[in-house]
Amino acid sequence: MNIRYIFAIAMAIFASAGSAWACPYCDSDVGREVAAGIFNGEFAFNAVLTLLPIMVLMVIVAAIHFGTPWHECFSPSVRNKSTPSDTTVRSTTGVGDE
Amino acid sequence: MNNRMNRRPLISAGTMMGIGMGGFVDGILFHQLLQFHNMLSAKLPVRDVDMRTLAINLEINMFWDGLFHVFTWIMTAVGIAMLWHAVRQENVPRSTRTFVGSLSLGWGLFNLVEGVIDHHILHIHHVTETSGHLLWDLIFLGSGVALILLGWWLIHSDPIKVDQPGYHAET
Repeated sequence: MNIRYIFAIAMAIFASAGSAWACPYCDSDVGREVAAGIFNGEFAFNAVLTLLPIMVLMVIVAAIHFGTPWHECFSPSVRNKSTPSDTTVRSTTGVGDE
Repeated sequence: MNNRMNRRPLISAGTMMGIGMGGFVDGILFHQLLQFHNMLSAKLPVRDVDMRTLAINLEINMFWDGLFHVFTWIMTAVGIAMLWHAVRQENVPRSTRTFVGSLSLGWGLFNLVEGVIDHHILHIHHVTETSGHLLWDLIFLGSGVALILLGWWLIHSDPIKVDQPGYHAET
């Protein structure tokens, strides 16, 4: 299927989604209190609280992926047995398999 | 020709996917199915409150749970992309042991990091919102440590052989 048709269908679905807003509480006293409880002065703070562990985990994954200058990678180097003399470890990218 | 194998892309991809999948296990199992806690259930309690407050707090917590799930979904998607990129590299061995170990490592990291930050430092929620939550919080941290150790062991014990079939790029 042509990508433009797919895009057009997707846009039509999203455009019609507004009419399918099925929030059962939004137009009620409870709904308004819920909205006020979410979108208030603490919104940014609560967002930081929610995302803080994720940001820390991203730093850890980045350290695994790009390496750290002071720590050996989890996986030791595996060398081609046909080139036993190749024993150097690249110092520019930190330690690792490369 | 440099035939030195590099598992780092596979490990980082698996770890990223493990973090995302671990987040889904927490969000789906503990937040939704068992309903032990929600993202801000220590700040906005859903226990021992009147019905109106319960309805409001549940809805607010559901929003923040949803935001959390958005980012676990993004992490899983990024992990899939990283995995695809990794397996397309000739010098990255397609090792099941390393990949499964990385998944375990990621899941363990999620439990440990999220547990320490959310349960013990920020106190925005606990595993169970009861007076005996400390024990469950510590068990949750212990599960993270166990998964990390399992993943580390699987990765380190992987007997990668350069000349084994499957570890060479397809031509």
